[in-house]
Amino acid sequence: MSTKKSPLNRLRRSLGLETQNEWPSVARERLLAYGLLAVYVLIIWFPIYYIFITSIKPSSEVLSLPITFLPQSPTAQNYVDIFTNRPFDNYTINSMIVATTTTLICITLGTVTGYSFSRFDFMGNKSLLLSIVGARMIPPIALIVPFFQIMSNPPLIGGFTGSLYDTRLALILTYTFFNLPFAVWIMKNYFDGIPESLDEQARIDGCSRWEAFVKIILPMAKPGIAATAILAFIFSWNEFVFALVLTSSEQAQTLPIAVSLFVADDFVDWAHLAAGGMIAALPGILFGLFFQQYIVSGLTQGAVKE
Amino acid sequence: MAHVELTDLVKEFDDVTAVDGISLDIPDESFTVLVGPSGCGKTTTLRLIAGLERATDGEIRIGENVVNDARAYERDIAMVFQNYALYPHKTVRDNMRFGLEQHDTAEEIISERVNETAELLQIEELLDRRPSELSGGQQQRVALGRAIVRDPAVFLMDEPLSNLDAKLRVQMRAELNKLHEELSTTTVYVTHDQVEAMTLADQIAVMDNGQIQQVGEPTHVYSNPRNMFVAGFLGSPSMNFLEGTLEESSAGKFELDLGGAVHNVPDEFTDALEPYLGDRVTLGIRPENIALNQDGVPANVHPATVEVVEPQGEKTVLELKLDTGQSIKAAVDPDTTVEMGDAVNLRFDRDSLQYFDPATGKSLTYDVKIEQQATI
Repeated sequence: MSTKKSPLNRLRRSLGLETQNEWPSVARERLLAYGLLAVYVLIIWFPIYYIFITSIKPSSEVLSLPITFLPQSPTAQNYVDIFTNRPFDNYTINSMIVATTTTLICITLGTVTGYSFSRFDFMGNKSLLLSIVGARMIPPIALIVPFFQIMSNPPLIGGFTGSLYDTRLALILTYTFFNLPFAVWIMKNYFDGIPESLDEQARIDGCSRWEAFVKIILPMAKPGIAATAILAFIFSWNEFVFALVLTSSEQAQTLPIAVSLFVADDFVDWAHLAAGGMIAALPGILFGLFFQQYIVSGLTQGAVKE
Repeated sequence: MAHVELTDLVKEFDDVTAVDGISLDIPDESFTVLVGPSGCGKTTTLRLIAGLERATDGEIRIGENVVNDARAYERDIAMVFQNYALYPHKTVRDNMRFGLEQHDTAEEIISERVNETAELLQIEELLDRRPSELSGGQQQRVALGRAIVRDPAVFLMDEPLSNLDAKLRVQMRAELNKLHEELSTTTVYVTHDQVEAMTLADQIAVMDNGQIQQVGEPTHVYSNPRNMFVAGFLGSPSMNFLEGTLEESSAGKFELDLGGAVHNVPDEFTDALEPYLGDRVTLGIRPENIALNQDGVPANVHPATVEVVEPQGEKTVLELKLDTGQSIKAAVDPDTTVEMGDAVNLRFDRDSLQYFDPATGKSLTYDVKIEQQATI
């Protein structure tokens, strides 16, 4: 064949069609597989597409029938509105600060703690690890009352007497509580996959235990750290229930709460809600796309022995 | 350069005693091999010397210093691990530089030493690659290079060849020999492979159950094992053991009743074996010291049947069944023409016979043989 690299030929090859007039069963099977995958992709992307087109429709078009799947008069007005009429800049900053701080705390403490659990055979390490991970097994909703009470009347530590209610700190503490066990668990397993002889070689080469960790092991753990970071970030970015209960104003409320505020008792402002939803979804998608290359290797490292 | 001295060294893990009071003198510039089956404590001993484990009791001396409380990097040692432990995120060059950088070596000296060592090991063209881009044999060289470049007082090697395929292992073994010739750095080498131990060592220490069973020159230990463990561990196929009752014949000679057949004990062992008259005694004979019968040798001929013939190229190993029912292996000339089921007569080389106490495993004839060798 002369045009080997044409898209048609590539398609034919991926369908298993090596010669022209042949439709073997393998081609039918592959067509079916492609078909199913295409349907699946449509199903998962349709809601996101629908929110996007809703966010660029004028309010009048959103509720008009029949539904338009291509906006008749696309506009950016909804986006302008939510930043001018509502403090969406505050909400975005809150979300950024809460998610980033939580992520930083989780990967910092998670790597150090995970490394300790992986390398040091101290008394009670197994039961300690189990109890840390076990705490995470409790459904978060069951802990909502104690969290509310503790944040409203925090114990006196260092003379601090105020309330943490409606502060970003309350959310950071809460999200760290939920994410740190995961971080410790993932990092512990990741470090288990790195042979201990590397630590030992580093110690013989002149490192202290800490230097061996920082100079040799940590650089090798980047994929694990990336996986931990993305899980912690996305959890904190998306979390709704605790943010709803522990905050009440724009000084601490995050994007998921902000989006929900477009739902009133007798009216839902769909167009602005969709614009807010897009703003809320975007960083997660970008963050995820950027780090996804690390996630799989981060989560499966240590699962297979080389 | 330094000698290493272990005195009454003990290492306990929770309820396991991995190293049980060993004392060993490793002379300066020697190549000492710790050999033994897995779990015998050889690797733990090496890790104690390296400073990767803390001794429960006893003393470790490197050169003039007691190093029990010194950190690994203060001991002036370099180690080669079984899995090489190359830093995967660093190039070969940076792997070799790392230890020197950690010791604040001057930049010119670092690059000079790295280049010299790379040349010595013929890995110059690999310097800018990462470990994942190297073959197993090349990784092994880099691991060696990383140890050599440090110019330490002692090399510690933990089964460094066991991850290589058979051919490469033989080749690297020869190279290790050559390297030691050239560098003369005191080396402590751990292996479970007795061939490796025999070929590399100036001094071999056979270990079992956390204790050193015997120390000495490889050929000496091979020919004069102190006990049945050492006798059985060194050599492939391993030494044959035949147990019988020691009796005195009417002519006043000692003989071993093997249960139907009689084995005559050479006269020089009579004194040593006298206390065991009437007791069980184990005869040890290496497969290569057994010959198929030549006519006209009256004593110590044992009839047997050939069960398996294994031609191995340079020798042929026969599995035989003695008429007394005991199994025995013989290594014979490859030209020997025998087949399964053949009836043969076996002759044991009288100079190679060993006798052991089957209860303790102790050699009963060790002292006699040493004396004999001294007088020759």
